[in-house]
Amino acid sequence: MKKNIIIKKNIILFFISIFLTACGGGGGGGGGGSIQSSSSTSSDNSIPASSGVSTNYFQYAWHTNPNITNIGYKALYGIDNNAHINITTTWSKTKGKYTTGAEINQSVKVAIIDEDFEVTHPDINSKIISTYNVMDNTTNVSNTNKLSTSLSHGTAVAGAIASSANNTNSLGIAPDVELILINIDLGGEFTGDISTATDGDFEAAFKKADELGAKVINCSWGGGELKTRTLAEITRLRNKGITIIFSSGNNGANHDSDSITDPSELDDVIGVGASGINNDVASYSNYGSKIDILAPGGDATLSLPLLDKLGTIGRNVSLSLVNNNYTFGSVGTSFSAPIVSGVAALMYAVKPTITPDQLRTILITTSNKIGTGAAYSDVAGDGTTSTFDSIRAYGKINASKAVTKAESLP
Amino acid sequence: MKFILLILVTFSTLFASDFYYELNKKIEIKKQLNKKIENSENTIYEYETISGKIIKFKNEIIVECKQNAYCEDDFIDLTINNYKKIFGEVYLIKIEYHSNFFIKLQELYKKKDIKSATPNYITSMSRR
Repeated sequence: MKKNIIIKKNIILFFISIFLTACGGGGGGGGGGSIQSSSSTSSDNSIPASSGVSTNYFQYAWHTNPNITNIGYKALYGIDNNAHINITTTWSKTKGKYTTGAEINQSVKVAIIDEDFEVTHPDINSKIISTYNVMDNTTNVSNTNKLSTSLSHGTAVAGAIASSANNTNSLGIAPDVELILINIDLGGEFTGDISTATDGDFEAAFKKADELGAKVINCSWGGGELKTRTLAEITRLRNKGITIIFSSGNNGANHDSDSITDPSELDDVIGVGASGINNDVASYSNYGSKIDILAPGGDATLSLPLLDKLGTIGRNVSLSLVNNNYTFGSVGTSFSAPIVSGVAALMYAVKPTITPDQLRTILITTSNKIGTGAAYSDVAGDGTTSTFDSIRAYGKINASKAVTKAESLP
Repeated sequence: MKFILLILVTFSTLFASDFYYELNKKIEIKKQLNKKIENSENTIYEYETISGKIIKFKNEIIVECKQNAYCEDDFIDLTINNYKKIFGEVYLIKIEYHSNFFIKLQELYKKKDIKSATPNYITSMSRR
């Protein structure tokens, strides 16, 4: 039933889009034309990869752009005015370089433990300082996904953190950070491919991130239980001052009701659920008492604009808005976690001595309360924002407030 | 009579051998659930522990040596030849025969230079 509603909605959106495109309201930087299916190719696929970064796709970045001026796009998808995370004012302070301390003007290092990275993508290529493949002990982290036509997951996650700036604006949250890309074999939540990575592999991945200097480690995966050695390593990293971010998952399920401890529920990490263009929790976002915060991950109507494999391979869902080096083809908490990782990197940039516990406290106490109905019905009315909603956690991340608060730490 | 005794000893040895130590806590095996055979090296074994946890692993053991200890001697003592250092004081050992797996875990754990010896669990995680 739910699926039928979504399909009908998409059909309606399809025709509205054609109408708007014909009227000049749609299209935009991607070369215009009607909405294309996921298997077709974009008309501006000829744009060479080296031609630049994000072109003008900031106009579609509803998660970072507080003022989407493309009225046709905004109306077509019903983007809420507050769906973004208040990031642009923060970029005047830092985009990922330390503003103080011994490493001033150097980049905060962010590690991504994931799978399949398009290291030549122009939006991230210049930021990559190290790569490591845990599975074969090499530096090759490209084309490691078993499903070649699917989203390049690691690339999309990396782009959500660090996609380059176009003049002053960016699809990525922290375009000046440096990236450490660590490949590990992962399965698919809904695709049926199964991971055979081991406790030793995961431990090695976290150790490598630390060895290469990461202050933030992004993990857009989960669904099983990490084992003893990896858990001990995560605790060690937290005690060392490294912040680890995990996505909560996409089953719309309550983690408190299942029989396992998902990685996003660990006390040593920050667990992240997803919000959508309606500025509320996404229906697929897993929740529970141990999930900390929400960040944009897209919903059934619209994803974030994400990086994709270059050219005609990869996800290639352009919505006629972007070329095939980008995609609107995937939603999930996988892309919410890197939003938080990017903000965490900016918090380190303005306060290098911040601890993971301080960082978490600031994130949840500066978050925006979103949603209606029973959401946050227990607000005390004293102006504090530390109350918790069972499916919306402590709220949606507010980058500006979080970074400002971090900066003011003694 | 001898035959019955032999059977009893054999069975008791079999059941007694299915345990290992993790964080100095004894983990006892309740039963083997199944095994997925890809090839001899990549066979995945699945067990249920007494506490109800399901564990999966190939014939691989992760050994952590005590700081500044040299435990490769211990491997040789135990006729373990297939091992490699993966980082720091941590080694990955491949056991040739699964029938020896829990016995090797116990033997390794008893060595004074070895801090821990646990199965290298399969930790299936999915992209989100």
